[in-house]
Amino acid sequence: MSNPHYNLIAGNERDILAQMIADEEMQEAGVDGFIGPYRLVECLGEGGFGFVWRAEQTEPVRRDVALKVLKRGMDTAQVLARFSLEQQALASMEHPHIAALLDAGVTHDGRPYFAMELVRGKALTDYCQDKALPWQDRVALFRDVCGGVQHAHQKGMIHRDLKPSNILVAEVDGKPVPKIIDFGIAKAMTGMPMQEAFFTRVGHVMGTPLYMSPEQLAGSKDIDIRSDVYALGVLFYEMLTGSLPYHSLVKETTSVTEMLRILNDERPVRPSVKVTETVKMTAVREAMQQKALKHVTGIPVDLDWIILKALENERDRRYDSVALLMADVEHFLRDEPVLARPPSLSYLAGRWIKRNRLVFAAACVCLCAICGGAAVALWQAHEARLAQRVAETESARAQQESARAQQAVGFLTAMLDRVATEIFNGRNPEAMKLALENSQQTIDELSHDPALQAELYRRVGWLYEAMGERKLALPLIQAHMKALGKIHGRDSQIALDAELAFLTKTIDHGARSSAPPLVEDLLKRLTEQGKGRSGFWFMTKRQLVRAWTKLEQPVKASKAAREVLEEMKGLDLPATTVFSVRASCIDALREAKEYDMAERVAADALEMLRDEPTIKGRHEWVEDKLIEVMRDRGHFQKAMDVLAARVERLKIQGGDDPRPLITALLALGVAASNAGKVDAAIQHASEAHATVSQLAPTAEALKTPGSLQTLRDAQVDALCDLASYESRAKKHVEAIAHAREAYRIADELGNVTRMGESLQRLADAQTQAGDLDGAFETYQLSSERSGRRGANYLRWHEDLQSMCEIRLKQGRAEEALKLAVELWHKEMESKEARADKGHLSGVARLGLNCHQAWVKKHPGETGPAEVEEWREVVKRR
Amino acid sequence: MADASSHFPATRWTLLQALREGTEADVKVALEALCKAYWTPLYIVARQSGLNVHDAEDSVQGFFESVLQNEALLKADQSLGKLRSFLLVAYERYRIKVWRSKTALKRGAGVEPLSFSSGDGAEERYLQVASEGADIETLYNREWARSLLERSLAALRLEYVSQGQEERFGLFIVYLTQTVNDETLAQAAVKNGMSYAAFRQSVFRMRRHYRARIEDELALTLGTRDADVIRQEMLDLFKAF
Repeated sequence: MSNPHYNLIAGNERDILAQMIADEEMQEAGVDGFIGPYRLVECLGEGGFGFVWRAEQTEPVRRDVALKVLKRGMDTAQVLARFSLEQQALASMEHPHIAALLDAGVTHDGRPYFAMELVRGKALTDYCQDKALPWQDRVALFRDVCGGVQHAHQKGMIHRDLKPSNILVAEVDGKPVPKIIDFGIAKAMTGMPMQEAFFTRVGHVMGTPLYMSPEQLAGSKDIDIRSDVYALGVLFYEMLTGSLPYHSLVKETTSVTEMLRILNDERPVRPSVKVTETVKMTAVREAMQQKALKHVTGIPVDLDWIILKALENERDRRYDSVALLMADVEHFLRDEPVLARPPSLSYLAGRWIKRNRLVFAAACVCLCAICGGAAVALWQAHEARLAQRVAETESARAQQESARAQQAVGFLTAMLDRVATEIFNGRNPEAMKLALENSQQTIDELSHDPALQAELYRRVGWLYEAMGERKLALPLIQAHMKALGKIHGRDSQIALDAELAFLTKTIDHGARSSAPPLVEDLLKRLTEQGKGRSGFWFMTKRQLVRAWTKLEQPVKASKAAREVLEEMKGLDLPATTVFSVRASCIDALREAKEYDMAERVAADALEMLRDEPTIKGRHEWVEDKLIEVMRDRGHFQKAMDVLAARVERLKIQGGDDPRPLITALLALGVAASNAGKVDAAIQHASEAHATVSQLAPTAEALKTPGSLQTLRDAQVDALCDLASYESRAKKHVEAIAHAREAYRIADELGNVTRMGESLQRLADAQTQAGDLDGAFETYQLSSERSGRRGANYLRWHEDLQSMCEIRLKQGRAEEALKLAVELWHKEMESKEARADKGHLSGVARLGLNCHQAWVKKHPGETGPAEVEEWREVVKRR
Repeated sequence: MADASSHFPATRWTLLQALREGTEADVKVALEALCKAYWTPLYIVARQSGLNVHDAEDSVQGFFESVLQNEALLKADQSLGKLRSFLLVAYERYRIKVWRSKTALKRGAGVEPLSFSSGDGAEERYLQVASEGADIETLYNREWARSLLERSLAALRLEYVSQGQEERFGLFIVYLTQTVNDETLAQAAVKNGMSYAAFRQSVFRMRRHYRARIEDELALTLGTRDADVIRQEMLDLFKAF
């Protein structure tokens, strides 16, 4: 170096700058080097709050103290008022592991300072590391720390800010003695912006209060000793493993909200496992750490449970006091059994359920059905089981049922436990599916109890159904049907019900083309049994109408519909049956474009609702079908009228549940948008948003999940709709803001589906606004979010595809081509995608377009090898 | 190093002011100061971004030449943030857009090329910092802070030398660049035949002067001498280490 001063500076920059900053502080805070009665001697360190000095006290005794001078911007009066409230309690604390707080005051430029016992030592975790302490010694140190905290708790003091830099280890007679500093300061500074501008050494996460309990992070005012228990858990974890519980997930930029989500979604790796992993993975540059960690291998599993119990998110599940935590550590040190145990599998299942609400809301319906016989809340299921109740005598059946229900509960609980185990072992949410698949084998083996077997086929079938795994559900529903046929005979009503349920599901999403002959066969058998034109017969025939409609055979569908409507005339049938048949006929006639007749049938069905109380509440169901008819024939205004009337009706009715009104308003918005009345659409979506926002978002309200969860969902829906209308009306700024807000809420809810939906709207809005780069980033975020959640691969592909298209549009052919190749590989990895030839050729075509654009920029160069594959796929189509 | 940058505190002009409103000679001096201060930090950015030695040199050189003709920079004001961050962003943009498409090689027409001697030793610096394992922005900030401290120290030396106190400078300089406590100061005082109080005071005085030179340097690129802004900048630089 030409510069002679380089060597003086290199390596000392941090010290020089700190000194410079501190000098200025000293000048400003002190008068002639004095703060209050203390003479500043040297700067010991700095933190988010301000600086710490070694200072000398001359009166009344001559001693060195640590002086903590807070930054500007703290409300001095408030801090000192809080401090004086605590002072008596603080003064009463006398413990070898607590550094005494001696005094507090104000600097001449108005900043609070605290004087405390000077401890010459290293931060707890640094000490463990530097001395390469074996884990036994670390545990003993930790027990001492607990002793200090427990003493303070007995005096009514909660620390609230326990972390390694607040626990210093000094050596006394060659033995390490930890001392907790800052007791009482965190409380005095409550509400102060202490979380801002943390600046710590490089390598420590900045600005993230990693040692805080979830309740503290969430800003709860109700903080008790169990917050300290949590912080001690984090501390113990770090002491033993050298890293923080959520180390790999938390970045410098992690926000408090994100942190809370991580705490909610993840479980820390068990310390014993963590240490093994770290030792395995540590790179050369971390050799030092590795050396230190070598001493902590072989952490006994009992310590895992102690730590994890202290780290529970819900404080009720933590140790009730530090005394109990310490007792457990002592039990451990004496080789006695510890209180803490692995979290029970059913509890873990609970955590999992919390994270996968959508799936589990439905799964729980099934569990409820088993326990109490409550009707499955699906209309179709209700229909399929209508006749089931009539068969056997009441009491005998009740007894059998309860025994069977108990077994079923036991079985399903075991199964959920298995799911939880999968999750616990760090496998993905696919675990549920896996466990169900395994359970199927168990059910197959239950042939000694065919009744239970049949029941379980049905339950697990519905569970799949609820998970959206329809292709897996169908064989089970079929197995259920067959099992009942074996027990009760194929033509028993109970078996017939099951058969109808199976046919219904086959039409909904199975091999549909096989459905019509199966339905015809059932109809024929029913007629032969003398059950022709019975209620059940009509419910079966209704499935024929549905089958042809779903198979997009409008001629056959409308023929079947006209037939069945004709056949019903003059018969005395249950109202529900007539109503259901009519409803299905509306769809069939609409498909056949026989709109007038469809509207007539709809009117008849609606007419029934006036004097048939049994099927009240189905009004909207039929009305929705009617609106579809109107929409298909282009009568948007009429659709709007029907919906506007519904909105009026619901407003007059009032009631506790605002959801129907919100849904209606959103539907009205859609209708208006279809009618080209974007402003009206905006108005309706805004009203829906305003209605739901009034009710939904307070944190208090979130405590009762069930209904409010869906209210928040509705809020996301309203915002999404609003955003897309605004986008159409070229109100880009509003559109983007609303889509962002939708994403924020969806993210908060952890609702993956709605997260994807809202990001899609955001990207649309950005594209409309001409912000292609923004849209690109949004798609990227979307792909990361769904990729990380391990769910919804198709969505992931779509995002990538959109990103590729944007780059192509921007003329950034190189990037576009790269993305196209990446997308192609993703497609090839997915079995579903490979099977979908139409989709595949679309992707290939996009790839070829990218390639074409690329060739223009790179004439004469050869593109990637995938191009040939693309050509092949496109040619084959 | 006792050169362009030390002319500026005297005129009380910031670099940007000089670029915008100065005479031709002012502009030239200002640009040289600018290049000197930022050459190595940006070179490290270039290397860390994957350019080889030659390309990194050419790219940084090209960037500064484009700065000469770049109206945007001359119009840069406080609203664009600090010059330090602004130059990093501007350079990244230049590197990606201009350098990659190789148009950077077209030298500016009619503009006299400057000699940027600061390139000397830049690679050496790079090799030293590259192993520090921090992100590009942190490395850039570190290098910038390092060069800032060096330039300030050079200016401080000049100050002492011009007053005939070169020896004094040599005596106390070690205590500037490391944290000192009472014991070390007391020992040093005895060794140099001075009283503890006098020795301590001299060290502190020199540190105050050093701080003033650092503030001068910072004011140049910050475009202000506002105490709060300067304090914040020092904290920001501190955080890079």
